[in-house]
Amino acid sequence: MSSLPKRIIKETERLVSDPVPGISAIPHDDNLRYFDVAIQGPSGSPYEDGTFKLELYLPDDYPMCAPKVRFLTKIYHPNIDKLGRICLDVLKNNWSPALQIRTILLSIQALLGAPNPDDPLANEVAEEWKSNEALAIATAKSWTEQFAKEGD
Amino acid sequence: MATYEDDHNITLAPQRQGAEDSGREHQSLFSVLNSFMTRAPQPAAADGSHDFSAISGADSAAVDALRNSLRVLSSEAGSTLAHELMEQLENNSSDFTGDKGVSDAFIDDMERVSVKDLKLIKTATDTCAICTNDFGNDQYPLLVALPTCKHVFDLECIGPWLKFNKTCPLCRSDVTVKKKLEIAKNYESEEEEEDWEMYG
Ligand SMILES: [Zn+2]
Ligand SMILES: [Zn+2]
Repeated sequence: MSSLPKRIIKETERLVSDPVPGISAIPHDDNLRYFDVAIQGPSGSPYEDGTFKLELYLPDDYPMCAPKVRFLTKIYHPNIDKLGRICLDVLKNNWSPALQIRTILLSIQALLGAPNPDDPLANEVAEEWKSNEALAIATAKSWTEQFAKEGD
Repeated sequence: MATYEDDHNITLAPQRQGAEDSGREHQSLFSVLNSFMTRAPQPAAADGSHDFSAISGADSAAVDALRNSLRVLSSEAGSTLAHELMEQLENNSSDFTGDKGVSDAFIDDMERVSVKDLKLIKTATDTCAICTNDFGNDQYPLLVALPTCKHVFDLECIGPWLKFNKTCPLCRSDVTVKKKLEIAKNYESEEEEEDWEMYG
């Protein structure tokens, strides 16, 4: 395996020494480009008190291309599909190499606090969010209860 | 202007002109293109997004190989199609790589900045936003300022980005608005930004 760019080492060190509140990102021992991520649901959101696990992978071309990030914990959210894929501009066309792992994870945390059903990835969820927001939020809360609270 | 696809179609279904030589020429040209197409990774991820991790390095090597093959066909076999394709490749290589970046010449022409002059550039940061290293720590720094916004990066960091993108990583402005700006400067150096368009 090719050596790890200095930038990735620096980012990793800072993620550990100066973690973002409510977010942890820990690289695998055997693959320092692969991170186990956990994001706390923002308070006031239907994901409050939930811990959502994600996987984050830095492709060989990082930071010329965005990290690959996916939810592992099941989540009811209009911008996250069944496979955990995330519809977020900075992970796609709006990626910039000046962004970092921590800024991306902050953006994902912010997305949990501000679902955007007008730019959906999960269409059925988005439809429900638009037609019956109260019900959608109730479903999101119950999924959080069901899937995002198994501690380990 | 003819798109790459136009030329591509002409190449793959050349009008028969009778000569045997011409047939051979098209066959070898076809095999060159075919090997290029199979070598160049297809940027189609499951979610339809472009996987640039697969492209940049391998693709430029494939383009170089194609360019060389076309050159040989053009000069030694006298293929006019190869010649035309070669010109197309030089003029508009973005159509081959599927990228949206700037030309090599654009990258070569960017303004060099020395570490001691960094202080004079108010948009300059202390560190390169791409590799996050301090500019001052680099023993042999090679820094460039983007033509429009004057944000400063290591050349080796911003170069690969601009091959596939036209935006500044820091402010996302389009770096190719340079020409307009320079022309405007020649006429009216003190004008406001809003007035640049009228000289472009
Ligand atoms: Zn750099
Ligand atoms: Zn800029």
